[in-house]
Amino acid sequence: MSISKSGLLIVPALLLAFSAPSYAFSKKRTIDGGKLTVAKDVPEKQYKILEADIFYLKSTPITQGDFQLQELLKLNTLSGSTLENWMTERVQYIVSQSFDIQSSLYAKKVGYSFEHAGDDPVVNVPTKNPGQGTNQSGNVVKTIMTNLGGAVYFAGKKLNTLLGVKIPGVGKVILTSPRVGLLQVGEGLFGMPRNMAGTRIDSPAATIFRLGILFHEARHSDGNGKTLGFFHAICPVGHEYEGYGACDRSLNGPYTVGALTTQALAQSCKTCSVAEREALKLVYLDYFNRVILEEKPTAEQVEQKAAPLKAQLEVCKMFASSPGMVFEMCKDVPALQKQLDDIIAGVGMNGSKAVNWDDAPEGHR
Amino acid sequence: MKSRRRMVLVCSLLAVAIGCALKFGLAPGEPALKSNADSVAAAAGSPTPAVAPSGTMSSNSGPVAQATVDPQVGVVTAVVPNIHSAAEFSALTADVLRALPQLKALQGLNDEAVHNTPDIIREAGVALGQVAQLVHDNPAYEEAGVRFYDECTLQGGGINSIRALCYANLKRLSTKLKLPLEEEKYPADVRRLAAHILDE
Repeated sequence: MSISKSGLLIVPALLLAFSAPSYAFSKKRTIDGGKLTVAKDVPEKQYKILEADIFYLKSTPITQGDFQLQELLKLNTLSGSTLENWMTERVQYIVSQSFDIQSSLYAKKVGYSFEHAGDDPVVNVPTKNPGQGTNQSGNVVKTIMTNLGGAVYFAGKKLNTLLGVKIPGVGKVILTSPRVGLLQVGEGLFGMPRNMAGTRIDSPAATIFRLGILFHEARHSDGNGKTLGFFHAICPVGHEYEGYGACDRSLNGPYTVGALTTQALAQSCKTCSVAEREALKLVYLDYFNRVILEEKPTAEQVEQKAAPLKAQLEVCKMFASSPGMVFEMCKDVPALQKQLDDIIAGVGMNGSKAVNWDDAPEGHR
Repeated sequence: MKSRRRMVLVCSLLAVAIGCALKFGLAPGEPALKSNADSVAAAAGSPTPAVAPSGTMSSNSGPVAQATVDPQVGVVTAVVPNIHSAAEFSALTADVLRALPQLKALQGLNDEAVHNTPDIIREAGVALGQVAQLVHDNPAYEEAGVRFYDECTLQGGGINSIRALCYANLKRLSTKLKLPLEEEKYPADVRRLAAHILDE
């Protein structure tokens, strides 16, 4: 068999072409010197916005961030650069809304030995009806951002299987820890409120709003065992997001991280108008409002404690008109009634108070 | 058997992001796996999605809107209504107050849509931002601003974060104008929430 000189050159090229996915020939899209890798399926416009957001974060002097944020993120100093480092330690890959997890997952190792095996976080199912694709007004729900890495890691842990994902333009990524940092971004992140038509998507206020969400999602890459992923809690009865999985029971969870970073960036923004700062204030108040500082006793718990007293009072009322029947327990009915009223009002029934969760990561990236 | 186990595994994993388990269900005898998958999907329920705007929040319903351009950065930074008198300001704030979203509007949203600040609240933020900008730029509107923020804080069925923002402005303006403020008149949880921004 004779192979021409030019043929010898073609063969290796063909072998390479058949052995590697097509995206292997395209340039990797990275942000900040490779700290963040953006998948090929993320639209160019979104990639550029994210790149500009990270640049803004890194180059913005944080003049107003308070000690609470520094302590929360365990930073020695508070600056755009240290905030950016904190975030990129938890976020590394960004895929698009169209990223198909179904065809991208693979099992790297069945029977993998996970840290904190058997020590899982409590995951509550929202009592609201999720995932219909629309809200009640029939509008289409657009993804803003999801920490896919944390969810896939946890799914793998439940199955004792180390999982990997194939990311377009990046290659195979093994989820050895939620800190591998795989986020999915959607069109919702780049949308603006309807009455802000005319405001630029790259304005500092819009950038700060997106960065707050990025920090929120980054927090989902933290935690271990029971705190793994800092999963959200179902908002309790009486809360305005009652029944939604949109609250935190930790003091240092994603909503606090999102609130304090948005607040620090908004306060440090020199070019933001009063109107923009005000709009951002409402965003971080909304986040702060989702931290359940104290879980009040449930109606069932109150009823359980009140039931014996109610029965006692019923008996006392029943025999009140019978002079011959005097019970010791009925000597002070007003006091009994007050005791019952206090229970119903929740007096003396302390709920569980929110605390800081262990944020040390599980696994290694 | 091997392919069946593989199918179950794949289905469970996919539930993480796309609710596969909910869509296709799992064979009897595997409820634990299904509930795990559902739980993961719920936890990850993290999709942090937005909903295409559905509210009626628009603060530009009254006076003509005008874009303001920051000469230093050259971008449009806000759209503030063009107001010329206290009467126009009061008309605008009445419009804003009427259009502020109510608690029941949140309860109608999809679970995924509330993972981050819903659009109806963001839109309210823009409208309240325009009011704050006008009060900031025109001290003549401060007294009308106090009345607006008082009503906004006290609105029944209102959303706490919105009421807290209004309360913080009410307190700041009342202090500036040396007006007495009966703090107990306002809900304790609204005041507690407002404390996050009172010292800004």
